Amino acid sequence: MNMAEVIVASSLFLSACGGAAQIGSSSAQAMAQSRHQFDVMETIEAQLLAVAPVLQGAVHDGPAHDCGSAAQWMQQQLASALPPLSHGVERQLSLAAGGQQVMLVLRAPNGLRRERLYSPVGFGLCGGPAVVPQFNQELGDASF
Amino acid sequence: MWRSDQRCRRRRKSEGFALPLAVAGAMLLLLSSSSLQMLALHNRTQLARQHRRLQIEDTLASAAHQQIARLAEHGSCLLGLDQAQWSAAAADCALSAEALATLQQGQVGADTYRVATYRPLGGEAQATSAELELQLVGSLSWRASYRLSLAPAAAGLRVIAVRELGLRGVGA
Repeated sequence: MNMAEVIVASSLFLSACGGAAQIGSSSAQAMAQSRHQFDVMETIEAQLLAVAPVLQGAVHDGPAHDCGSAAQWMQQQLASALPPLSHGVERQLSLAAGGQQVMLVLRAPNGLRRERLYSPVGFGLCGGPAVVPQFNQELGDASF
Repeated sequence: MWRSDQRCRRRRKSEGFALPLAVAGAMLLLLSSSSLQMLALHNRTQLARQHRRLQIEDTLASAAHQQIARLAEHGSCLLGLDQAQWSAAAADCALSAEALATLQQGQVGADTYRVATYRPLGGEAQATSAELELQLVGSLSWRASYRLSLAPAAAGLRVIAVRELGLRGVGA
């Protein structure tokens, strides 16, 4: 084994070590980002899954003819009863479609964004007379 | 003489041993770190794809609520009828052809959708539920289905609940 061979071999191995360490650290960073993004997506999903139980569990006077006031009631209920936010996710609840529907927007600092439109009609909160009792069971397992 | 010959042979054997070992080690290191990076990139791509799919679900779910609200407001008498019968029943519901066409498509944000299927279940007049299928209009026409729970109302039927049945793939 001569000196030149040792120098070439060790410099080659060391530069490979450096490159591998760099790639490894960027991969670990990307993995950590993916994990965080997954947590954010789960937080947002939990918010959206909670919408139907919140509205079905809340006490409402019964279906109203005025969908505007039902939408306002929905907005208040969702603002007060949706689970707390984490991972920097922001929630925005606003009235849409001329005050007849509710828009829920969930936004994360990393740019993830989801939005859904909810109509009180879809929860039987407006658009007709009182709900017929036999349909309440069916409503129980209906979720959005 | 014999001893020096042995020493020479041993030296020749050990020569050129470090370089291949270093090359093999370097290759191993680079390959393992590259596969780690591939895994990280794959994870990121999967998450991006999942997020896009969830956004499509959101658009179609919003469209379902919009569609139900529109049906409740302008076409509640159509709730008990199969979509194939809507044209024939439009006059009885005081709906013009234009109004009926408007009721069968809509827009959520930048996305346009159309009603692909509407089918009451459990007998048209006494339907207790209905299946609504919406389809996005675009390059990838995603479809999603919803089960509506219906209840009798003064003017026909009304919706009391909506349940997502999920994405049904890409339609023609």
